[in-house]
Amino acid sequence: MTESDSILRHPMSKYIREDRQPWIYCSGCSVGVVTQMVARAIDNLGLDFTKTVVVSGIGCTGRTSGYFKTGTYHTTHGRAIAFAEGVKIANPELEVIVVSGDGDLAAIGGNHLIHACRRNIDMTIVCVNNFNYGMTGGQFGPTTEHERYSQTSPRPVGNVEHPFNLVKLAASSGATFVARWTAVQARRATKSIETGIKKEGLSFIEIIGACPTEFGRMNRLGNGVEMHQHLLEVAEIQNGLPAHEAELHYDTRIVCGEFVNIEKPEYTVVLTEMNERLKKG
Amino acid sequence: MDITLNIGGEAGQGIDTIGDLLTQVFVQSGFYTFTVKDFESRIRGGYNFSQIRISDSPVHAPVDDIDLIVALSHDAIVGKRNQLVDGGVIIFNNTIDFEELDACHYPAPLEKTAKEVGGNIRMMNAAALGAVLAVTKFPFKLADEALTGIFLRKGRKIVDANVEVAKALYDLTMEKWTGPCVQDMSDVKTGPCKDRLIVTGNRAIALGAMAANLKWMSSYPMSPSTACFQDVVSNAQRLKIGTLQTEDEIASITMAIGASFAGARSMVTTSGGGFSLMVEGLGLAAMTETPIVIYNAQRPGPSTGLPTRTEQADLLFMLTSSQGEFPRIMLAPKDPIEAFETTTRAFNLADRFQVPVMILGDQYFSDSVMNVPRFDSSKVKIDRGKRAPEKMSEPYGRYKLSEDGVSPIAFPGDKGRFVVASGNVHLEDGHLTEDPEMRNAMVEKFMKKIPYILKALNPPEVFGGRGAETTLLTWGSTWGAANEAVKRLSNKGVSINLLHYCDVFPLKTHTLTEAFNDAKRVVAVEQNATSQFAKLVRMETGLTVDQHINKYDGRPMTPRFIMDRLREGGIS
Ligand SMILES: Cc1ncc(C[n+]2csc(CCOP(=O)(O)OP(=O)(O)O)c2C)c(N)n1
Ligand code: SF4
Ligand SMILES: [Mg+2]
Repeated sequence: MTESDSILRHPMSKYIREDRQPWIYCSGCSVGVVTQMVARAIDNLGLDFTKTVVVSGIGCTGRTSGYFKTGTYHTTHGRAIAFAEGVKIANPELEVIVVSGDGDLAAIGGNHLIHACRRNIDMTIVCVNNFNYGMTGGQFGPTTEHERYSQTSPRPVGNVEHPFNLVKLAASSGATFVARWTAVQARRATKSIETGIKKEGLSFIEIIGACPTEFGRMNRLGNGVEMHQHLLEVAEIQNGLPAHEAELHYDTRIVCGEFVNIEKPEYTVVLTEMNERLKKG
Repeated sequence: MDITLNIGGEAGQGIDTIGDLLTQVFVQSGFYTFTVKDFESRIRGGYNFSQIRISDSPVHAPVDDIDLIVALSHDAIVGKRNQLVDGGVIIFNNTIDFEELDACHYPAPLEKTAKEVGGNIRMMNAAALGAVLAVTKFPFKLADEALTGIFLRKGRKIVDANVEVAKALYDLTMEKWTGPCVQDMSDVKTGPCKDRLIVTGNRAIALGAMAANLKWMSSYPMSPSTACFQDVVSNAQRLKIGTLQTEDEIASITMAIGASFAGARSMVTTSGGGFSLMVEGLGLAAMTETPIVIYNAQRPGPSTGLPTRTEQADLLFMLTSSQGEFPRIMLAPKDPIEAFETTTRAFNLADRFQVPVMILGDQYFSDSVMNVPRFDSSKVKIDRGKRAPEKMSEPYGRYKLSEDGVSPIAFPGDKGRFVVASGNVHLEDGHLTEDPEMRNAMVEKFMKKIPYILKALNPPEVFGGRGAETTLLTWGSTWGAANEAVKRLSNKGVSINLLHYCDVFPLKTHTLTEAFNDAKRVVAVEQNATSQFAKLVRMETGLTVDQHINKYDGRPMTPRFIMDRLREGGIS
């Protein structure tokens, strides 16, 4: 390595598989930013890499797991959380982090999401919500707003359906830590990911991101820079607001912050306690 | 004339627009074209290409030799060099840093000309066209007329701008570039081909479904089937088709079964991974005898596999998927022309026999582009099968036992009648039962349909004349490469023909047995590792093929691949 190489190396490169570079992401995409957030959170907490498992599903965001130097598992579409539950329960010592897209986690994987929240299994779910299926060419998804355009909700009608508010969904399903940030609020988002990892229970962190290539293009929202500028403008920080008030209107107001941070017995802890009790009894 | 162009670059660089324009120009000039798309599972970057074969006689498969490469990235300059024929040319955008210039390399100002002459970098496709035409000495006048035909609906200004850009690079190349090119088309006249409809397998299936009066499609996006769904979505309003993108494939098929129960001709589109999720629904459709058409555009598996590549490895999975036993129909069209017709048949078969009908495509079939004669939807016959008469003496029973196993269908909402159906074993009236006699009767009802289905299916086709020493056995999209291999070998005096199946299940065995009797050896050619169709043949007839040719690298079959394998087996 030459000297200039070492200067140019990214501080997070120790966590990222450089042999898998360049990223597959388009320029202006938020997924790379979020990958960095997760890497920084891991760095700040000083997690043992060999005891960390990053799990993802299928999609542009789903490709994230493959870039980490931890143990990683690239599951099938929608199944990241179900798989992660298996990992965590089989070995509660492991730190389990799920990174995946809105379609992966809330459409095909929606059932697993609500049930994992209900069980309160200790894991951290980072969902990159870019309001569409980036990987398959920009179809609408479970978070696409009413009347937005996509490959499968073309002009002039747009999307006839209504979106999930993932913060409300996770909170009402029983997650013990719930936050939302946009991709431009990197420091705050990283802090929340750290809190989520430390939390003994299910943490759900939604990162509102830009997919300029598909969602942005079809809805004429500008390039990656412009979309991220927009996110900065409409983000409204309201830490501690009840989750059911965490509104999300892409054009005007994206309420960000940490909305839920409650204590509830965690699944694998309860399981271990019960086993102990049985042994004694 | 038989020339192959390869247009390569990164995802998002506009390979497709260049490819589309070149295709259109040659189609408008009266040639047959066949384009395969090779792309990575990513939205930007990487190395992708379109490979266009242009000929004055019909072409149905890609070939390995490339005459001309248009490269938009460094990777594309070097990526296919080993397949370039002697005297082939690599045209590349001269802004790319590339120094190891050989005689075959032509750095052309594609981007610069688009910007300076056309005023828009997006006209790089016209610039590339100009360079290709000049290198091959294709008469510009022919292309000029074609461009007018292509762009006229966008207005005269667009036509002129495109012609100007193409002409600028054409003239520049004619003047400046003196390199070699194997292809000299200076004498080319308008070709013989009148087929002007440019379609993919996916689009032909969508068109077939819409021509068959499709009324419902619920799907979940999955490569390589998504384009078929999107085609239907964009026509849904006009044709009054209910389309719904569901939350997953379990919902897709179950909704479609619901829509079919309510009387709508229904279809789902997916790929193997999505079909895995649909298996529960498949059984439900079968048990309730609700007609449904399922299109699986196969890709290499298992699991996520190779999302944008090709394989024919879901045959046995689709044949045996779901618990229990029931009749099902499986069709595998060989190309877009057959796909249109097969899809219209699929709906009629589903309605006539009230069974699931599956159409098997694969990425190669689904994404490849060719020009075909216009489809005539006025010739499409619609047969909705046995409907329950309006006046009946006894109460309606959805599952009335009958001689051919098919019961007259009625839909909820039909006047004065209740339609009762169940996924449990049921009585003739649709209510559930555990009675062993009734169980037997209902199983036998299923089985009674099979001979009638067999009668309704198309027999396999023989290509290259009967009674050859060697018979290739193919199904679905591998036909194209095999047929060309047969032609080439026959021309060399080899006694070889091809037995091809579109209607793969239930298996019609008459011609098959004949072929096995006639030929000294039968060779199965399949885009999978385990010769699944040959297994099906053995299962149904006890006949065993003599040689297997398998390809499972995710890239389409080529005539040369087959010929090389045959040579290893002593046939050349
Ligand atoms: C069972 C199954 N169905 C469909 C697909 C196709 N598919 C791959 S990624 C994807 C959507 C990804 O969207 P999202 O999770 O929002 O990720 P993004 O690409 O937007 O980051 C789909 C539908 C698949 N791989 N498997
Ligand atoms: S398609 Fe969208 S989500 Fe995927 S990499 Fe490109 S910008 Fe990002
Ligand atoms: Mg998404």
